[in-house]
Amino acid sequence: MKHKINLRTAILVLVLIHAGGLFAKVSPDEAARLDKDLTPVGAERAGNQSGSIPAWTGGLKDTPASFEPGKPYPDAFPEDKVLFTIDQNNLDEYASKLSEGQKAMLRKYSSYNMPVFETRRSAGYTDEILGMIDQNVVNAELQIGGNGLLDFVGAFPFPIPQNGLEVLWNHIQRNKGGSFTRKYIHATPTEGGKFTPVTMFEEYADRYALHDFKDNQDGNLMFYFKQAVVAPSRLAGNVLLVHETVDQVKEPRRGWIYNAGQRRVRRAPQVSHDSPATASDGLMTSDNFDMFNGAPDHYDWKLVGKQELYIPYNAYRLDSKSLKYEDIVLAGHINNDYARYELHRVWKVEATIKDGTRNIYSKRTFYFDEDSWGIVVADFYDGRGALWRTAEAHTKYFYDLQAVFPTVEVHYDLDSGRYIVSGLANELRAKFTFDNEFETKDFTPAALRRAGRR
Amino acid sequence: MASRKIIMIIGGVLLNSNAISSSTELETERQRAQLNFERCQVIQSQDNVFDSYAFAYSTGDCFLRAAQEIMAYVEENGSPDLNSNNDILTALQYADSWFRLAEVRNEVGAEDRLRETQAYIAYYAKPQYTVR
Repeated sequence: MKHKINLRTAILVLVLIHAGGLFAKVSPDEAARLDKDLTPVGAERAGNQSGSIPAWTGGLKDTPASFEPGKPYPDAFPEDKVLFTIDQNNLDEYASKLSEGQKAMLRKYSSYNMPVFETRRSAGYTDEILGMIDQNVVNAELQIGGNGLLDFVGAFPFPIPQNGLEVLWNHIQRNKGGSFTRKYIHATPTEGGKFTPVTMFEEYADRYALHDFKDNQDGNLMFYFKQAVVAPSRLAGNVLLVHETVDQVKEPRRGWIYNAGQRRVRRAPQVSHDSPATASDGLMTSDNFDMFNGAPDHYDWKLVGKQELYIPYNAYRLDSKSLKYEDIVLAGHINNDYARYELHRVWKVEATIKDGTRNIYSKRTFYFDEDSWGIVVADFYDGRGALWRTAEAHTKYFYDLQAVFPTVEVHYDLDSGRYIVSGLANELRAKFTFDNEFETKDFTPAALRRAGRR
Repeated sequence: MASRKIIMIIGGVLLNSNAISSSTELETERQRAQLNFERCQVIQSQDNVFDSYAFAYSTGDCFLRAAQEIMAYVEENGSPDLNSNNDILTALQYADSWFRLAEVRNEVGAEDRLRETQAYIAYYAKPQYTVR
């Protein structure tokens, strides 16, 4: 009899869970913490005990006087000096605040270092974003299985996350400024450090940021993305178009490729999960782009907790127009003399491959910046459980946009010794433009063909 | 003297054309191996539901053979470079992930092929944490 009651209770609980979202929303009392001990996006407002991480006081207030919209971003902290440098000789001293991948890079290369600067919690948020968070904190839920969102608007669905999947969705749906265009190069240097820059041009628009956005149309669509290879000539003209769906299990990502050689547009269902990324020499998978993108359905996501970590941050120096690509792209790794590391609190999440599914990475460890929810450091393990690859996103605060966003992304292969660096624009005139007036017709297969013929 | 010059020029042209044709051959061989790897990528994209473990085995086999083709090319044409090593390892990691999936359902031969793939990975993965 006792067994029967327990069984009935269990079934009732399951039915209740399945009737709505998978995880509970946050109560109004809990949500009120966003005005108290937590920042508006859910980070800890206070600094740490030692004072090496300061309190959040609203982010960077003053835009550098020399900044002109549409022009390169001047360093917001030009007076800051390197406090100390982590390298092979002293890494044990800082090991508790380094990822496994960072430690592996330091051990592998005597030339690899991490210059550490004062921590600057530069992230600020627009009133529009804060309004979205106020709604999301008490309304947003994960769909069953965690592959989509319910009752969510705009950005940052889970400022007070309850599990690893909610943390991941905060990264996927963080503030990217609504829409942008970006021109940059990526490089996959040889053993000796030689490389051919591959120039990319991207256009991105959130569904709600389209000029002709209609709330009642295509509700399972999250954003549009177009990526064209501009140079070298042997790759130029190939264009990828993605319509990113929210629930990719219900409806897989819609992808098309325009092949310049064949002058044809064709469907590209393979552009997802662990298929090789565009022109990456196999050093990155499709879902490595932006550290992680796409469906989370192949992994179990475990929230490990929060910790302090040295992460790339406020990377204005790495974007400097006074640098050449050769100054940055070296054999084995990028020149971290131009990077800036800071101590920040991060959320640590471990993704482990689910039974009955597959990926070349059996486990991934992600570190999310508490102030922006962006993944800043990630480690990737192969089928044997050995650390295989590691990645860093060098982010900076776009003070006119009020958003933290990656400017340079580096993926290191610890086994082969090769790497891919993406997002460099030092020798290009402009990198980002924001607030573009995109319409749906800019992201159709016909538009893809036009982009390829340019 | 003039005829000697002509013979030298003809010899030079012949030598160069040999070099050109042999390098084209090598390039084609390498390209063929790369194309086979890309073909495996297309095959793997055709099954996202993982309901066929025989498919998992054959896709793993496709990647393993692609890796072996690059290995053979490297063996026959000089010392391995980082690019080829990376291509071999990447193909092997794809093979590993598919054989693992097939092995879960005891697909015939999957365990052996997985063991073979892992032996290759151990060989081609450079020891971690080596100091340059």
